[in-house]
Amino acid sequence: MGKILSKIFGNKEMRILMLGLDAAGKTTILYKLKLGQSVTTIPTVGFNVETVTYKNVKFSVWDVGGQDKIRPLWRHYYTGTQGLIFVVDSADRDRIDEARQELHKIVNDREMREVIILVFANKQDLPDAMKPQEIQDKLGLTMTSLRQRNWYVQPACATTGDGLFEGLTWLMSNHKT
Amino acid sequence: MAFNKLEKEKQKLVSEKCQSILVTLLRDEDNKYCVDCDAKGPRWASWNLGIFLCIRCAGIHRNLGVHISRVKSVNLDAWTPEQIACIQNMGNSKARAVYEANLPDNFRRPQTDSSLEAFVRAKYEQKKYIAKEWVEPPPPKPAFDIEEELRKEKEKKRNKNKSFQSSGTVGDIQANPLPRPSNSNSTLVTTAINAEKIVQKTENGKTSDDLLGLDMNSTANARPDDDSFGLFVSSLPSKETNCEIKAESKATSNEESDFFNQKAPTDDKKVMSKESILSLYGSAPPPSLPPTQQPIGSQSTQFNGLNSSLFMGQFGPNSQPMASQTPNPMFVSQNTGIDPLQAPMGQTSNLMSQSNFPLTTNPFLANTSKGSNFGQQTVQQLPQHMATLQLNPMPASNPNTNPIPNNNWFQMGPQSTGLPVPQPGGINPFMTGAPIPAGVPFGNNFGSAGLNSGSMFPQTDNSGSQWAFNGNQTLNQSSGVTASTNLWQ
Repeated sequence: MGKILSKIFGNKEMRILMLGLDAAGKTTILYKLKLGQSVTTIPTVGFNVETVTYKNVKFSVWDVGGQDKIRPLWRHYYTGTQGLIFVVDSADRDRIDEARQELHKIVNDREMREVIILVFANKQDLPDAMKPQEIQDKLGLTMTSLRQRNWYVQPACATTGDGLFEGLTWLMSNHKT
Repeated sequence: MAFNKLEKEKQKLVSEKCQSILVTLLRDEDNKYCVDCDAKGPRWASWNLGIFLCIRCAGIHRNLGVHISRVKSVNLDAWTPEQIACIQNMGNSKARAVYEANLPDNFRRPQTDSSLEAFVRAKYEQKKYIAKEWVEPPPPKPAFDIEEELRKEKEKKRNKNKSFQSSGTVGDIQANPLPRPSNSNSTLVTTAINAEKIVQKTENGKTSDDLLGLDMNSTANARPDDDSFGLFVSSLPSKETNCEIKAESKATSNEESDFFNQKAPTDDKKVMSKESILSLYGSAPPPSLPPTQQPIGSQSTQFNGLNSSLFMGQFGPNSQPMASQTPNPMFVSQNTGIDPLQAPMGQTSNLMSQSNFPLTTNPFLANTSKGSNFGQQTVQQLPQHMATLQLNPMPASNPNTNPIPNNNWFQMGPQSTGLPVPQPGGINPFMTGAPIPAGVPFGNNFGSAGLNSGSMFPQTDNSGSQWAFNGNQTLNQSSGVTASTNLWQ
């Protein structure tokens, strides 16, 4: 019944998995989207999940902790994921290559073959933050293995909310139902 | 391939070594409290600043940006020898001396989230209280070189094989400098270090002790069996040096007895941790766990109590990858020992964060309009990703049978033997997408999210908690199919 209704009224749902290195800003993004305010977070040693309804689309966003030793757990969240949000700390030049490796690991997983990839180039407010173009290059998104994938780099600042809903808009317009 | 294996092996060694150094650093009195807020038992660090932090301050430090502070978890992150060196060179006491040099005398450390953040920003971002004469040192050399270590280890092994009998504990003592007993005169201690070789000799020659008139107990303790140098040494000391040596050997025997009693502090800690675990979670992990079952996941309990903001889920690191490494007894005991200490702190931070993430499960907090909003939201979401941490009555080896303190909203009792599995295309569309790590290669079932804490615990093999979803069931109902089989059954 609920399904029929939502079809009539055009409600869509989308399951989003949000990953990225630790301290990239995943939890801050999640709660900025959810509450519209910047919250004080603590490192996520586990996951957070929230539903965010935006323009009639119900996003269920799973935000999983990014510490090195808990990254092996990410793959347990892959099943059923329709969109990947990969969050990058644009100011962290030292670890951008680590981020690249993790991203490639994720998107090359069998269960993630079909997902669309939104990269939040987060923390654009910080001094010397990498611009989207640079992030794109350093993440190896133009490489052959990713060329045929649907990806997009969205500059963002989680604390102010800049770019976040633009990202969601991209997700919903590129999501094939 | 073989090369790869070698690299991995090396990597493993590096991380083990880093871990053990971190553990020793954390045992230091300096580092037992968060450098910023004084919370007990910090498990996080800012390696470029060289300080240990609690999880809440870690969160604040991450807000500063990587150009100011680079935060890492002691347990959940991989460390490099360079990062270790940074921490070794600083530490909490020194860091306070540097960054709080001009702190007003009557300063009280702020405890609320916002004031704490303001303080941390003032301290590290604006460097308001920094010592004027402080010059940032160049990046230190790595704490150790693993190649070097490996070579040393090999040599050590060779030496041990060669002279197993003659090389007693003395060598070991030198290798492991221990905290000296506080009552021993510090100058004596330093001379003892400097003259350790002489002391060794005198100790080896028991006869010298006789000459010195030392009471037999301490010397017998120190070197009961080795008389071979007696003849040499007995002729060595003159009267003046006698006294010195006497004192030195006393210091060393102190040291030595320290060495032999090394377990004592950890035992203490265990008692403490047991108490705290008992009070917090119900049962303590048995110390005699076989290493493969010794879960680093015991840490997860710590976090469970910690973050009960809405759906803030917390899980411990998967026990399996850790446990499959060579067990490091220090590491393990530290895990079981310290975490409970942090749990209370976590709860305070939980209280703090309630202003940010109103907690509907907390009746005291649900009274604001925001709270009721959340109530709605919670109710609405409840069936969707309701998942219960199942705590099955387990053989003694299950360390996670600890009732989690703040999840008393719904029961996690052993009565639930299984939870409904999402049916493909079932009533709740959400469920199909939910991660069900059933049959994950770790062999672990996932402990899972309490409503208010969203906790997800990868458990040890035999802890029977599972990820499961209570589609439309009432909270405590446990009918349904299990998501995965309990391996221990």
